[in-house]
Amino acid sequence: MLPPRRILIVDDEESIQKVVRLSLKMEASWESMTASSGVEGIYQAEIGQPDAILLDVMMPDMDGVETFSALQSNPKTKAIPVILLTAKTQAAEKRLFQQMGVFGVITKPFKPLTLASTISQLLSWPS
Amino acid sequence: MRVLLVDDDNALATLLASQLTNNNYIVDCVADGETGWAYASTFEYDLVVLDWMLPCLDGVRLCQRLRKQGYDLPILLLTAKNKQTDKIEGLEAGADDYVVKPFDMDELLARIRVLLRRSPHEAESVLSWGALSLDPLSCQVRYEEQVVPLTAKEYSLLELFLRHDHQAFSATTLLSKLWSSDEFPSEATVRSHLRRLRQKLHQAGAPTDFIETIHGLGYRLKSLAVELPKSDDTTDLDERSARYLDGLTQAWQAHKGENLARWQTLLQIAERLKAEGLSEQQQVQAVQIAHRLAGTLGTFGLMEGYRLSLQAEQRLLQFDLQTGKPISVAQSAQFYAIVTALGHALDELPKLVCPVDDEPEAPAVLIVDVNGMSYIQQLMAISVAQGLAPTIVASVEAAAKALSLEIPFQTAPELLAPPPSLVLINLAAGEMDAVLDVPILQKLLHFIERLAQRWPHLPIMVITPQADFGNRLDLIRRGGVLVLEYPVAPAAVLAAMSQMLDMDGLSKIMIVDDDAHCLKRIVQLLHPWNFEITPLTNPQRFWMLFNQVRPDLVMFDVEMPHINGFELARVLRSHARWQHLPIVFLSVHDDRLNEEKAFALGADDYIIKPVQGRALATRLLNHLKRAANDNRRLA
Repeated sequence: MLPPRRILIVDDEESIQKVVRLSLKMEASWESMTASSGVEGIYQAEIGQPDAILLDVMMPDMDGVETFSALQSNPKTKAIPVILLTAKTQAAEKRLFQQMGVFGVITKPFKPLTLASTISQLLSWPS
Repeated sequence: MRVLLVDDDNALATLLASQLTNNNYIVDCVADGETGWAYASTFEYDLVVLDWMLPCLDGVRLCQRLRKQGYDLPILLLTAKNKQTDKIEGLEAGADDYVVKPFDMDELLARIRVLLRRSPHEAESVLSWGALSLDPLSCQVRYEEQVVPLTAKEYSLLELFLRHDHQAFSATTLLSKLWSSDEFPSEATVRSHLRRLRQKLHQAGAPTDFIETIHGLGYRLKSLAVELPKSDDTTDLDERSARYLDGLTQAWQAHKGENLARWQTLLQIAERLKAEGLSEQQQVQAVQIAHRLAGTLGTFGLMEGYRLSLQAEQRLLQFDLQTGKPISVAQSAQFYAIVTALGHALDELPKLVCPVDDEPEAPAVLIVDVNGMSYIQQLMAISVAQGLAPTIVASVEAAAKALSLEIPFQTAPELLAPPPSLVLINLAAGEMDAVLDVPILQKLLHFIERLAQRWPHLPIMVITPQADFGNRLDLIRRGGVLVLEYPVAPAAVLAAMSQMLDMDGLSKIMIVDDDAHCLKRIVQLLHPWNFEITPLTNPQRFWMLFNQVRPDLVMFDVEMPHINGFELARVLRSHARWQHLPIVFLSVHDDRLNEEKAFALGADDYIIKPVQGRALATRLLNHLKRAANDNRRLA
């Protein structure tokens, strides 16, 4: 059993938020917080101080890349590890994301009942 | 209960095996003493039935060897030798009982039951667990007095659980204990039998988890003690999956509407694209919708919708609107077909996704259609729905570009864009006057030649209104592989395309050769062609295995002990059903008489060993193709 964690899910799609939340709960009983936009995500990260952030790439107004930059330049959120969540991407795009300093990229569709383990592996969390 | 039957009398062994199977025993049948030893020392049996007179190693010596090596399982010796001294010799060798042929089947079964009762594994009395009872003598199972009708396999599973009531068995252990080594079952088979057994017990009133799943350990009877609420730690994977799927289905019901609305917007864009083209802004909007749909549908496990959304996104990204280049009729039709198919895919139900990193892509098909014929558009739509990824190009130049024909011939193939899985070239000009003008026809024919030179293994299909022998020969010489005569229904073209795409690899081949070394070598040689190969060294087991595997082609060595390859071929050809099954002989002897004999028996080929892998595979593929065509014609 993985140790308890709290994850912030930033995705403008409520349905994806629900599925990610459900996956984390079913696999590891992890708690999750949700935000529907980049701005809301930064606010939630500041006040909620989650253990990690799962960030959707394609969002209106402020996309995942912009949100990540804002989180990195904010002293209250820069230490929180970020993993991008995205639909199928080109290998080059994936490399670009990794060069930005994110801890990993999880591609949709993901394996629902091993999502928490995947996050733990990407962040080198002890199991 | 698992029984090893060692007897070289095929008829008797078959009869006895079927009687034992009818009595819920799992039977492995072998025909010589050495194989008997190999089986007994490899698998776990509850009893061995042994004929005295056996090839390689006789029954008495096998019995002695088993006892010497510490095997204490019951052994019943079966023989025509009926002298008192023989009986003594048999029993002194370590047999527990001795039955003289001819014997009464009921008596033999009774003696087997007695021997098994003496065995430490067997208890004589009725086995029970809570309200469930199993009577090993009558083979009847009851739950609260209600009879539970079980198949032999379900009965064996339940009996095993009842005899080891606190032990958890993994699917692999259940396979080795309850399935004979001839059956080639998978763990999925075990799970499916368990599921049916659980259903039947539940119908009789037992709780659904009467046989419970212990994550990481396997299956066992659920403890009869008072049930404690489960903590998250003990929640097994099946249960978590079921709960997850429930949650997923509820979430999908709540959000299906918004995804339908997205699809409708995409459909409007596709309709507009056909009628009046697309603005850059609409293109961006459509890409975003398709991308989001892919993400959402994939996450909910609607994999067909996921695949089609990704295809739609890729098509949209290929439209080069910035340079003002118009979108062709073919491109807009392809996009429309994908979006239409996507609409149907939204009716799927959510599933538990197990994506793999290297998930196979839909086979890409390039269709060259210079006249924009409507039946090619129909073909496009139905092939998208069938899981292919077709692209239509409207000119020879565009096709040449897509297939890297403009790049110098010396360039290494790995540096070129990968070719599609198949190319279809339409040489029909129109519905009324189907024959193309000579210049454009010549251009297309030249294109076929260049294509075949650059990609020699790429299947090229040609549809032509001129499919007489001369034209067909010309097309084949240029590199065409399959020629269809116009007019032809789109569904028939799709069937031919699917057949060509399926030809690689999925065929089942059974090879019988008593030389294990040679057999291994052939299997290795054929490995790159992805055949599903069943190797067999003992021709006596051929018929049993053949009926289980139902191969698409059989390959026989000529000289084998007990039954030679010619006899096996005769047996096959004596069945009306197997008149057209390709039979290939492999022989070390370049012997004209044997070769003539093989063909006279109805063999399709006679190959002399040693043989090259590619040559062998090509010959086998040809026989398989021909047989597939024969079968279609007969159907």
